[in-house]
Amino acid sequence: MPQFGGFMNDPTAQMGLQMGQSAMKVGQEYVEQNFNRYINVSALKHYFNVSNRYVLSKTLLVLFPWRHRPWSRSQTNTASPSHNGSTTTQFLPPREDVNSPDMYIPLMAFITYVLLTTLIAGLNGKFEPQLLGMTLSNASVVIILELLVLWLGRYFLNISSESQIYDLVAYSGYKFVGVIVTIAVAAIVNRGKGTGGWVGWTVFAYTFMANAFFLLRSLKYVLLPPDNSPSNPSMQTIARGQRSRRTQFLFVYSYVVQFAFMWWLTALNFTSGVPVVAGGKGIKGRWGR
Amino acid sequence: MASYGYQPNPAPQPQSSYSAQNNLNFYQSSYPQQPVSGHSTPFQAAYGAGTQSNAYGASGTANYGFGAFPAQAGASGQMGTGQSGLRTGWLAAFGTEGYEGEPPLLEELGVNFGHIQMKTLTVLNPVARIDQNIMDDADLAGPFLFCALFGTFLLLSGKLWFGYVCGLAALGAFSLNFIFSMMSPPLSQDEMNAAQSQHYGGSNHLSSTLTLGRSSSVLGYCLLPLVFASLLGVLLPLDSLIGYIVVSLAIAWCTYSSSAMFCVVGRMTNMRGLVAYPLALFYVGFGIMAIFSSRGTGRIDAMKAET
Repeated sequence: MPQFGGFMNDPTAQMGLQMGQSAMKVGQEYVEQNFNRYINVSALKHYFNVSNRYVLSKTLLVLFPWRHRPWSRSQTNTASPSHNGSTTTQFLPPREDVNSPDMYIPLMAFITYVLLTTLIAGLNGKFEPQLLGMTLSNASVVIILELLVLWLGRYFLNISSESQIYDLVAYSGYKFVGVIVTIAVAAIVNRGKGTGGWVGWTVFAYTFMANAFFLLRSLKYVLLPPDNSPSNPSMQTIARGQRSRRTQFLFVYSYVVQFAFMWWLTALNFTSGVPVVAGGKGIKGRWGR
Repeated sequence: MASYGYQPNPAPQPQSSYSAQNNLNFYQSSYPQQPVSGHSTPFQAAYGAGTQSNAYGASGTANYGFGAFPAQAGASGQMGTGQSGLRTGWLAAFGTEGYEGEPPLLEELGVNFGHIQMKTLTVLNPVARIDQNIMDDADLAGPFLFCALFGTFLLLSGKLWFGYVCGLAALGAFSLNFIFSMMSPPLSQDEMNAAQSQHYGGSNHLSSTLTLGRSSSVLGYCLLPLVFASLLGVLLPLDSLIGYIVVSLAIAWCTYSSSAMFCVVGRMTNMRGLVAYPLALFYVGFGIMAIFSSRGTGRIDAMKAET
């Protein structure tokens, strides 16, 4: 009976096939190992372990942080994985602790910001799909710069634990919530003509102060932890000089850095004209409509 | 055709002894100096129904150039004799027959119209119950079709935005898969083992039951209401109040069905609102493209003209 694909019966071809299969397997294992080295998946999952109630209360907290009482994160004592009888303390996930940072809100706020600016630009008659990409790149530049500041700060402040860096990255994204509120309110009041004017500046100032207060209170526990907490795994007391350095960093970060970035983000409103792309024509010029 | 993609092993094969001899003979002399014989089909030659002369004739008949697919390494020394089962002659050349035992083309490609229809109806019916295994065969044929339709309707409105549709779909699929993998509860240890051993489903990397293929499939199928909205946008301008309402309804419908599917497949049923929000953002992106692509009431062009 003639068989379809009979070249597989050839020993040479079969050997080649097996070699190819094992090569692919080795390659996959290599990728998997290195993937887990760069992105700690279980640590990231902790930041996305949120609930409906958490998201609502945290968003309100970012906008109205004035009256919130305890800012410290709750800890739990769990059995140590090394089974030597001792207990390790871990922070509770965001689902159970409203003071815990998460990455869901910052990520959603970032994407909402990109879409909102594009929508407002579109309602002003200046939509082109490149706007989506341009806004995304601009906002990504802000994020990258902020990560750079945090990374440098990590060296100056001698932050060793990895979870602290993830915490800082998460906290840096909360300003997008304030930026969104500013842009939305200004668009409604100014009829989309930009974020200038009394209302725009007032809302901007308010959200900036709220964000700064929120960061100050929350980051105090991240950067200046009381001893014997999970963010201080080596149980070393932080030296006096280092404490004051960290406090200075905290103030500078919360006020100056956030102000600069928030202002930059809200100023990107594209109503003064679409930034010129190379070639200067854009879609309208090409298709003549 | 001078190119034989696969040079057969001229050593005698154990399967068919008669053809081993043929093999040796034909390998040298199969080039079309043989008289073309219209009578013997390659099939007959393969089964040895004819004599040696038949086999000779058959070898010259057809060098179809199917270099890669001899029927058997031993039995067919020449690719084109059609001992693999192809018939010869004019009628067969214009027919749709193929090799024997070959599965139908659509089945080979993995396009299962019954499944596509079932999934499409699940999307269109807002009150349907979603089976947990609906996405086990995560095909992308339906999603590709819907994205192509969306782009086509935008084209009929005057905007050549296929590239942007494709880019938004790809970017959204990657990031939504990442987000939902992070949000879904981690796989238990035996699920991880199962995923690793048989590729049964679920990504080992991100420790969830969602893979990129499944996420893209769900997102693509749930784009259907927006495809309808863009079809409507060909006929009436979406830039008006009724256009906004229609597109908002379409976005809400898309979000509703896709969040239902993701919650079931990703086992996150208590977080449906949180799952729905990123999906809403994704579909708002498409909705923005649909609205601002329409020829409109002239309001947008007037605004462009005045600035």
